[in-house]
Amino acid sequence: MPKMGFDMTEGTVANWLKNIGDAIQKGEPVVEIETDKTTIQVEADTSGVLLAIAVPAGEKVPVNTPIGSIGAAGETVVSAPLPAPPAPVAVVTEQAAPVIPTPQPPIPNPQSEVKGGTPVTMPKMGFDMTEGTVGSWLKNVGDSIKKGEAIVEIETDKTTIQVESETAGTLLQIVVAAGEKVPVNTVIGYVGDANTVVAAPAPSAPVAAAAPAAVIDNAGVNATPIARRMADELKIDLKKVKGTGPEGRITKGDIEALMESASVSAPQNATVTSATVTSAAVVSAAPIVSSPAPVNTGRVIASPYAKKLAAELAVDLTRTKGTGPEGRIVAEDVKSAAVAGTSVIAKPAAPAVVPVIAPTPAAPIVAPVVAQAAQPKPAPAAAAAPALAGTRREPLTKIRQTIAARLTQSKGTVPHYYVANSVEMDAALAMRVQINESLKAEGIKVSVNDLVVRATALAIKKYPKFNATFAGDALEYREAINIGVAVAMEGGLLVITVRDVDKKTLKQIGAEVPVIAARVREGKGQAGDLGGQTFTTSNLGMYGTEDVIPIINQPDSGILGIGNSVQTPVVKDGQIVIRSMMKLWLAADHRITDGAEGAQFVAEIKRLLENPWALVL
Amino acid sequence: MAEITYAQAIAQALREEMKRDPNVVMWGEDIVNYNKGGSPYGVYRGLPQEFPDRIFDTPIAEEGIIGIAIGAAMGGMRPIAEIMTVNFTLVAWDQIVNHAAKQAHMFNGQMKVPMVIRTPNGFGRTGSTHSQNFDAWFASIPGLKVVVPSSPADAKGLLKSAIRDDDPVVYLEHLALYHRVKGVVPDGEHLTPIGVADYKRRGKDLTIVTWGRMAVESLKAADTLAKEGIELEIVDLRTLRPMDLSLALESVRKTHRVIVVEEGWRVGGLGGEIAASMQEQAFNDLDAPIARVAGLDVPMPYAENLERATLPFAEDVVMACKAMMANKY
Amino acid sequence: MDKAGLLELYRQMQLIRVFEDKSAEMYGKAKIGGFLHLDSGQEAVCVGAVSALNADDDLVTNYRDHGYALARGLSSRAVMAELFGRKDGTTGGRGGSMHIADVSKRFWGGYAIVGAHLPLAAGLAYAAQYQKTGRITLCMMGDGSTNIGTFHATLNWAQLWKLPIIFLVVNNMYSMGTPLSVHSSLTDIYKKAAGYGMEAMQVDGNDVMAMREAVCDIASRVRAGNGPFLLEAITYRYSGHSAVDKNTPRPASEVAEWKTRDPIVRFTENVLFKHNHATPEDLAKIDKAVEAEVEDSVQFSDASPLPDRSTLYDYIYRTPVANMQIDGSLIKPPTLLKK
Repeated sequence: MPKMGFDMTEGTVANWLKNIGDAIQKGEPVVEIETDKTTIQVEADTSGVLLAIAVPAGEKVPVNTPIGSIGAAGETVVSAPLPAPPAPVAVVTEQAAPVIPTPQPPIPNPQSEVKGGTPVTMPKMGFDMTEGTVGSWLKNVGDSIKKGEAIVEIETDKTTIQVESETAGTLLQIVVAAGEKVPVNTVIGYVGDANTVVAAPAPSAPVAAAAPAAVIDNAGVNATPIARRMADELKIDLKKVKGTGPEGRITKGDIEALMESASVSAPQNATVTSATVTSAAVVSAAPIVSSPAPVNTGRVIASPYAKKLAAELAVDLTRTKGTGPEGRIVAEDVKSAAVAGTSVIAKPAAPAVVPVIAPTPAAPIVAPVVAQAAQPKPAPAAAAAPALAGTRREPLTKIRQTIAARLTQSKGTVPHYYVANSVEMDAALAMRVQINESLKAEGIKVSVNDLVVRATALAIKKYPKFNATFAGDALEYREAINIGVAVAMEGGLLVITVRDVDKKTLKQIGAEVPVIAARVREGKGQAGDLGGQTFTTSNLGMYGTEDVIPIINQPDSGILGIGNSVQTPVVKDGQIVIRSMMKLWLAADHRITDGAEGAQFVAEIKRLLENPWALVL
Repeated sequence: MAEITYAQAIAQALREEMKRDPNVVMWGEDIVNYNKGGSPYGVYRGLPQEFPDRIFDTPIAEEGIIGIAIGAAMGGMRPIAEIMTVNFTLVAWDQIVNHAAKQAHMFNGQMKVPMVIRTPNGFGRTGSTHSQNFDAWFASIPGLKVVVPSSPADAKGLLKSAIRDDDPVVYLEHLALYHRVKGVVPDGEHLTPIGVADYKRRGKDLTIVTWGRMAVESLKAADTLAKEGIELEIVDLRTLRPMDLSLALESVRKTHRVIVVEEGWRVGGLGGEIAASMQEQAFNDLDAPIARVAGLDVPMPYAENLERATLPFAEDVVMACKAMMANKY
Repeated sequence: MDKAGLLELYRQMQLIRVFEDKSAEMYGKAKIGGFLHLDSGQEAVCVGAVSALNADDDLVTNYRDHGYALARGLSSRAVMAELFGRKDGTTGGRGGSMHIADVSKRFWGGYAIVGAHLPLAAGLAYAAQYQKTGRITLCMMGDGSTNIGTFHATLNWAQLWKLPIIFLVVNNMYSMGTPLSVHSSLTDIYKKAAGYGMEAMQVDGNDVMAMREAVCDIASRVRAGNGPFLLEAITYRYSGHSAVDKNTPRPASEVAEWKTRDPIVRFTENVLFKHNHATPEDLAKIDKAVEAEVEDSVQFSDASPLPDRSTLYDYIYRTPVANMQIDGSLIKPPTLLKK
């Protein structure tokens, strides 16, 4: 409902000029609005399809009340709760489905203008009640409210009922004024901390299920137990999820759909701020990576005996696939894993007790964030031992904890094999000079590493096993070839991801890598910057290092250690000549590939680098 | 070593104990004069004629049958009170719970109630009021001892022990077993201790904890499953109070899977108690939730198919075991 | 009956009266929990009936049992200690007011489910009959219990088997608070026995001599194998059904009228003084001794320890079961749950 005069507070929908489903051009009249002074045709401020009519003709509503929705055909209108003011006319999700947390801080959304505030919604007070009228507010904005205290009177066609606040706090905002009729579940006000800032909604921001972890309270939401458990583990706010089950119950499928959509439709403008990342952000990395190993993120569901057996057989349950109901790991699975040796925990040297491996998220090797559930526990002995005299004790940072846990797990549980080869880099280096010369104007530089990344991607096309991850009883092949690039940063390192490398030019790669690395270092990484790779490169050549023998970044198939290009006397056609030789060390997961495949794979990279025009063709 | 029926085993025990102790007397409804005598089901034909001064027909007054037996037991007798079907014990429930079970403890050991309440569980198109199973109710009363034999040997051994016991023992027989179950009973004095469970079958894959008729059904199920390579271990509790779970716990530490099989209603049944006790003590040995096979939570209908559907049989045990072995639980 | 015997009857009635008054007082002081059913006003029934029995006859009562216990010779200390729930009580604090018992005196206890003790008493009588011990059973009950199934089942059975048992119906006109005419179709309760072919009679329960004489006579007939007998004693309780319902509405005139027929006063005036069996000084001496005894029972009970927690599971079973743990189960309860 547009404000069409300085003193206009409400307007009546006189007539809808379009029907639901009609195509609408931007600027085309959509609806006639009547005020006490005039009647005006309101034009669409966007093109699309009229998805929903929230306020039918003849009804009077306050200014800023959403009266309808315009969006793309096939989109879904998020029915509840409708956004609070000041909202645009159209309230439509950008995606067909709501988006759930991705590796990013919670993004502003129309449902949470009041950060930290609890919405007061139009309650359903009878089985056939679809809408209700706010009779009168019993509190004013700014009044403090006790839990259970009546705050608003709601009238239905049958009765008037006082609605009690579910939380204590302050009435932050009245969204629906007295006398207005709104559908059930519409947000009519907010209760929360008095210090809370009422923020303006981001226009047409996706309706996100994400909410700050601190305020997630899924109690009382109509959801199945499994869905509730998943939501709790994934830190999803169920109040923001639309249920498809009976009576709108949120089911496991809804959560899965949400996770699925999150993995494909992460918003492009999202950023990661390492300092403010919530656990919600991290956990959601799991579906993006869809890692086969470890197969169990979050709480491991295993039978008591399976757990006992796993401890005895040193089987890592986070990497064991469960065949029981709901994926429960049963004793048979542990025995199989023990026999296959796939999930066996390497015996630690010092402690006699087999440590329980904390479940780790399938996040990138050094995601700058750590899920609460995944915080690695220091070894008991280490934790207990006091610092020796003359020793300074410095607690591990989160990033070091993550590196420690994940690389210990990788080195301890993934059977590595190593293959090395030397590459004659002269042609590649010469080509690089030429390319960079031509890109000078654009300020783009192609690095040696970019060449290797591109060569690796092309080699993977020929040896697709290196684009697979180990999934317990299967190999999972990826279509996209995403290559991780290890990047040093303060306090640790992390792996950024260059996506679809096989489809990108060296110029694109050269342009992309420093940008991604920079924003991740600054804590402003975007969705997709981290994770999703199947293979990683680690280049320490800039430090003059010749041999870089790396540890696999799980769940990758392997990692390529790139050394410095060193002028070396080599024998060529019986002559000793000087060539720039670069050492490549492949560390590969022996569960996925064997040495012969690894050797051929490295040889292919070598061939491509030594015939560098193949990289640009 | 003779093979005899479950009913014959009961008769043997009665005869031997009545000969052994003149204070053993027995009364119940229609156990002497009805039909050919020896209980309405012909469990101990001829016995009333052998002991005309010690086996009596009574009025149809279960509170009297039980209550007078309690008083007689207090007064130094060893009465056996027979209730025609377990359903009729309801009429005497006050006597059983408020007196038989209480006397020794409430009066601080001043008196004892050495009596046996013999009564059969059962069904057979007898409808809602005549086809019930109260094993769990009896077993929930401190002060009672509750035994449920499943084999002729146990039927004899437990009854003899019950008659000699100084506590009130509820001895639950089963109509379906009287004349259909045969087994070898050791010659001579054969006593089965109260409060001691028994393996009725050894196996490695899955533990069945059961008693009474369901032990027999479980044995049938075990034969079926053995053909498919699933070996059940069957623990027959035999005594429901005080309950001996030591074998069940020993077994689950081997098989890691347990199904409790009982005839009575599932809700409030002993399966819940047994499952709770076992997970308290053997949690880390469980590879699956403890499952229950039990009677459906409905009053027993008369129609044959509905009666069949309500009660658990061997096929139900087979299905449950297969599901558990397939990790469906 | 000689003078000593008569004074003993007086002493017992006076002891019951004083004891019940004291226990009501102790109830008010919260020394006694739960229920407390008093025999005040009904002393002649207790003393007259019990004094007529042989020492080894079996005695079974309902929950209004203090008077019978005292008449049977249980010590006032043990009875009061039981009311206090103490270790030295008649059942070590297990039973309480409604379940006073001393099997050594063949007092098999008070029973608290109305009418439910009748079959037990019949069973005791059966045991005596079967074992030919010559004992009879006296089973006391209230008027309210003559309407319940066990009453009828047991009377039928006892007559059928000619059991040596006296059913003593203490008709105090109220079934808890419900007047006789409201709860029983037949207000001459003794006539109910006729339905079972059982002999029966009515007696003035407030006349201890008549009471005693009736029971003596009936006991010899029952003991001779003539089968059971039902004796209805008409009496009145001064208190309510229990200590918690002092205000059960009964006409004040009714209570006052019954007080003119007080069993102790009547016995004192019509027997002891009238026939010069005792002087007021004799009685004052007895009264003083009784007061002292009851006071002593309170002090004794106060001093008696609470029953030991470790005895909680004692006597659940008399025949032990192999490896039995204290919770009645063969398996140990988890340590967590142990107190």
